[in-house]
Amino acid sequence: MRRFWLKLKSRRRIDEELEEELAFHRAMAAERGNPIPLGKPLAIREQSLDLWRFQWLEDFWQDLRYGWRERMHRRLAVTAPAVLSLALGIGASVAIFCYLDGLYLRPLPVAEPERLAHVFADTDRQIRGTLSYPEFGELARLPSFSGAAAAQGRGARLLANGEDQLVSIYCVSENFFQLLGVRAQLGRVFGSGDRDGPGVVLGHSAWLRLFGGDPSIAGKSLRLSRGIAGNVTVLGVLPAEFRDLTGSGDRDLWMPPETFEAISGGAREEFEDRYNTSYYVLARLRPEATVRQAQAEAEALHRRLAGDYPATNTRRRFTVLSDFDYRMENAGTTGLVLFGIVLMVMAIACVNVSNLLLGAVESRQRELAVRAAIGAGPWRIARQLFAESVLLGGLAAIAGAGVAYLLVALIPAVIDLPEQTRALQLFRVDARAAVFAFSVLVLTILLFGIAPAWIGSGANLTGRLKGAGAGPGRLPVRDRLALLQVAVSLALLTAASLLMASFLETRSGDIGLARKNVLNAWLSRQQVPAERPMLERLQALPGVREVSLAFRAPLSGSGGGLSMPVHLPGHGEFGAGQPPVAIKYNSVGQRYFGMMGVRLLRGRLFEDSDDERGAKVAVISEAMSRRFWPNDDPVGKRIAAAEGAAWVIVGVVSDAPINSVGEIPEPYFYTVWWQNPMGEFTLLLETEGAPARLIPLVRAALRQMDSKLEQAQFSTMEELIAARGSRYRRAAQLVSGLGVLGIILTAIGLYGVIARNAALRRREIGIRMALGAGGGETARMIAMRALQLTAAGIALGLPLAMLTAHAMRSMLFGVGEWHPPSFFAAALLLLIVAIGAAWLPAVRAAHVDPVLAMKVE
Amino acid sequence: MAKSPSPALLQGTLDLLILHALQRGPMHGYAIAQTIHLLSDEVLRVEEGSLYPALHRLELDGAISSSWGVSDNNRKAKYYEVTRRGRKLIAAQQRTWSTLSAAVDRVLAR
Repeated sequence: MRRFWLKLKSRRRIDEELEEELAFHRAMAAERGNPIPLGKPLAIREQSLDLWRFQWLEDFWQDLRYGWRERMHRRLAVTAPAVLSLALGIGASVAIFCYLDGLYLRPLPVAEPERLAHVFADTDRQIRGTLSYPEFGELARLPSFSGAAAAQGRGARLLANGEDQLVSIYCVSENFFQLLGVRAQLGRVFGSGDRDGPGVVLGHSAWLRLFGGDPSIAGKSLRLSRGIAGNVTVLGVLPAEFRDLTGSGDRDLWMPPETFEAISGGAREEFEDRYNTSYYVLARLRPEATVRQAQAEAEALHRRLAGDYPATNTRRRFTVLSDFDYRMENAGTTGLVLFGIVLMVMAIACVNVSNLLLGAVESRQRELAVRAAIGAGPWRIARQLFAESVLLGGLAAIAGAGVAYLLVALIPAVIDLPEQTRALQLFRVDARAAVFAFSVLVLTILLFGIAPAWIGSGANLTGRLKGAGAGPGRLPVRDRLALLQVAVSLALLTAASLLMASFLETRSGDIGLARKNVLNAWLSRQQVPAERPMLERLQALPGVREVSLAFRAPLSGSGGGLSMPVHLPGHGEFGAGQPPVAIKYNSVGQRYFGMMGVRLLRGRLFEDSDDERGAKVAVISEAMSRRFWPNDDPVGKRIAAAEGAAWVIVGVVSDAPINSVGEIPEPYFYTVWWQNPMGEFTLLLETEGAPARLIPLVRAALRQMDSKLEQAQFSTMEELIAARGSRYRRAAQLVSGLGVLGIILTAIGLYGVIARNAALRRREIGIRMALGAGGGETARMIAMRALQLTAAGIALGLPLAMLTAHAMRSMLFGVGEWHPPSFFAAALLLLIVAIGAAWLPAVRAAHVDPVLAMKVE
Repeated sequence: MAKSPSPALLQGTLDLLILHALQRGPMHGYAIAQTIHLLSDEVLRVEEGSLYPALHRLELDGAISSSWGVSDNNRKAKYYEVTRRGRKLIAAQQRTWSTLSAAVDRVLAR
């Protein structure tokens, strides 16, 4: 206690007093001619003062202040690029973190998200599949769960303000919001027990988009149509943070099944149907239960169900995933690869800073050696250098926060974020990002700060005092670091060029669909008297080349397309009596294939004679042919729906993407529209010139037929291809941006190393020039050094680049992981950058004055 | 520079020597060093490098206290004196030292 108070005495005063005391001592000794030996003055001061301090904390503060003077006043030329490098690295990582966090990582804004679990069904053909309503009921009763809720994505038309709008619906079990612990931001959610007719809850973004954020919306009535029109009451509005369960999306309307029946004309039997596996199941674990227990119980259940319902549940397994694991699965490769790439950029930035600091240590050798000679221990010097690193890191963090804010503000303008992420403003800098940034900062300070501190405090100080350079034969640390930097840059740039090549491929390569001028108009069939006269009328419009129709246009984002449980009569594994297999399908007009560029591979396409009166026929995709008849001709085989209808296969066509560009082709079959009409359809018009120009004309023609028809929703195939391929563009944009950053940082790093190298060889260059070497030759010598370093770095980086390419193979389209042009482009770019970085030092070396160079020590 | 190296002091003995010297009355650092030097028949030399850290340590321990005064030749100097706590410490340390040195002598005598 006493010590504590004593220590509070001003440090400055103690220091002054000690100084005075020592001065007196020396004066006395000198006066008396007394041979009392002098100690090392600095050591005496430090040792005596050390006693008075809250030791290292104060030391560190002092080191920081010294560092600040050193850095900001004397070495700004080193400090500024180091802080800039680091700030760019930190800023970019934080921005990418925010992006991934908004998309995948942020937990659902519900009560106790750590006790949430997701239940999926896995089969041999599909993992993480959804469940049937009866399965949901059985899972909800598992002992480990305190409850479970089901949700099913749907769509309907909102009839409001005289114009129809397509709205997305999540049809969820009554207990859904109670289970999650979600409250309404406005009004209330359903499930509180009171029953007052069909009610819906509005998603936050839908509330803003459709109703302009009307604060009195609760209690109002909406008119919705899904088959039949019905009135529903708005109960409340969800908070902005609440999203779709799948983590990134948002839904417009949330309603219990009863409400959905009121607008769809009732589909009660769906709740008994084990074939309809379209329910997404979410459960809450009891406080003492674990995911592992729940998984064991779910396994017991699926074994029992396989016995009770062999038709639907043979080889069907349940998987229970914690919410965190589920989100990590969703983030998947893209998330991991992006994180890896950010790490690479950070590594490059750290090497830069490390190198700049090492350079500073080298040029401060004399200062450090003097400090050591007057009694500063190696630990003391290391601490001083480390304090400077911390200072640099702190400055970089402040600047990095600015960069992060800027990027987060700019990225949405450059990169089209997934719509919901933007709408919900999930892409933002927040406390989570701050925690991430802080961890990155600590890690980077350790990474770049340790090497200079270690080397600066090294034992070889006396050698340095004498001005000795690095020994021969061994590559200096800084060159080795630069090598590493080039290696990491190669991997980074290869990743960027691979993604860029993929993106270009989605733009101009073969995606399985023709790039024709096609206009789509989505219509509900209830509004249409007859399709044929309509098609004829549209065919006659000027500028229309060809007209057809389909249940769904490919890539229209309707959520996977419809699938049908079918048998394949005569097939060993899927014949009659076997469990049915769900296969996606489309119902299309005769001209569909030609318009979409889907090619005939075998048999025939649909013909005009395949109409209502003709025999029922189907055309299957290549993937379906390969899956079910690998060694057989599928033409002539039959597809039988569980409901009774059957089709004869007449042809095999090329695979076309259904949901997104670049997806793995899955079995798919087509029926003729006239033999298998559906409740809604999309008109397809191939046009001369830009399809969007025809919209007013088509709209007018539709209005003439029926006034309601002008509410058709238009899109063009070009838009759909761009939208459904946007992940390639996004990935290419993000990673190229990081690649540009990486190459700038590498250029700075290489420049530093080469300039340093040239400076160290000044004397040698002077001698060479005195002996008759020309300026050009000298410049070449410096440039060669840069190229050698880079080439060695490229060789070193090749395995890393290949590993990166392998890790991101699922993000590529149309280019293999081993894509020589991409590797070549990356290496070439690095070499060009190396020459650029060597330019200034080389020119400077060429103008070295031999006399001056040899005189200067 | 000393011609013959002065024997290194055992850890802890410097404190005892300082306290012992200060029993003669308040002294400044230089006088303490001189007193020890003379009392040891010029065998022990106390470097200021050990002296001042030891003085500060003793002060923080409360064994001595310091104040600024004026020296014989009219210079400002810092004077140290033993506190009550310091006197107790001397007694204790002297006993320890006697035990220790007697023990060492016994060992070396055989």
